[in-house]
Amino acid sequence: MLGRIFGKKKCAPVTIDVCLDRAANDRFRAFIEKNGLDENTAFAQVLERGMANYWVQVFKQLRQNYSLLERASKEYSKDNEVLSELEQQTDRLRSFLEMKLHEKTLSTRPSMK
Amino acid sequence: MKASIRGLHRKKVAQPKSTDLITAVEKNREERHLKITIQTDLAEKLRKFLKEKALSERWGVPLLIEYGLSDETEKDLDELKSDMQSQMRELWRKYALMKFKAYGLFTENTRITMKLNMLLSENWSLKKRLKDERLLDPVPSNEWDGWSNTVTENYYRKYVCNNRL
Repeated sequence: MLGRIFGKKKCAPVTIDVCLDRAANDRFRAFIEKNGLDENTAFAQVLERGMANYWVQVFKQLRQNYSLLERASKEYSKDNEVLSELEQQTDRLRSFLEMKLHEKTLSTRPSMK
Repeated sequence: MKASIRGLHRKKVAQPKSTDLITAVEKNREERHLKITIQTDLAEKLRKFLKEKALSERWGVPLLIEYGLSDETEKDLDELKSDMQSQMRELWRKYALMKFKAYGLFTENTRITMKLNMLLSENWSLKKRLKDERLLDPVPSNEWDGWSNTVTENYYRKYVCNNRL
């Protein structure tokens, strides 16, 4: 869509299709109302602001994601301790029972002497 | 600048009230299509910007709109910029490591959760047998001895169904 602008005269407006999710659309509508702008002017202003603050927003998002990930990681780690212990204990108990049964079998077997 | 409201979907369709999280999230994913007219120089700037950041137009433009609509004041943005300059590199490094660690733990938990019911049932019956036959004294007692179906279901939700039950 943006690629087509080259074929156009300089300064001729370009129409682009944009899909916004519901929340972003609602905020965009609120921005238009608050600033009393028409849709295209508001869009241009928001777009310019978005480009100007791109890295700052990426950083902000990264920081939020990191804190979410850190919380999730703690939770996974706590669950992992319990689940792994359950798995290991089951293995230990199984081996222990097998060993005991084996010992029992040996002790009840008649002597070869 | 030429105003354009062509293609703007203003129809309001009555929708049932969302009762669960999935419906609410999916409702939010509903897209609104806009046809926007912008000046050539801005379109050119946008095209170059998206190319530099390797963003597609489909995802990049809504992302920039999202960023542009953020409610930080100029003061907040300055603070963020200053934090960014000092922390960005370290944060990327920590984030990558944390993601790797979290993914490893998640997949390990998924693996165990897939056989959790079988494992619990085996653990309980082994303990019972060792106790009944007096082969082990004392038989260890653990937090999973009293787990109900709700606990195992929660693990399934978290690790197998990704909270989508």
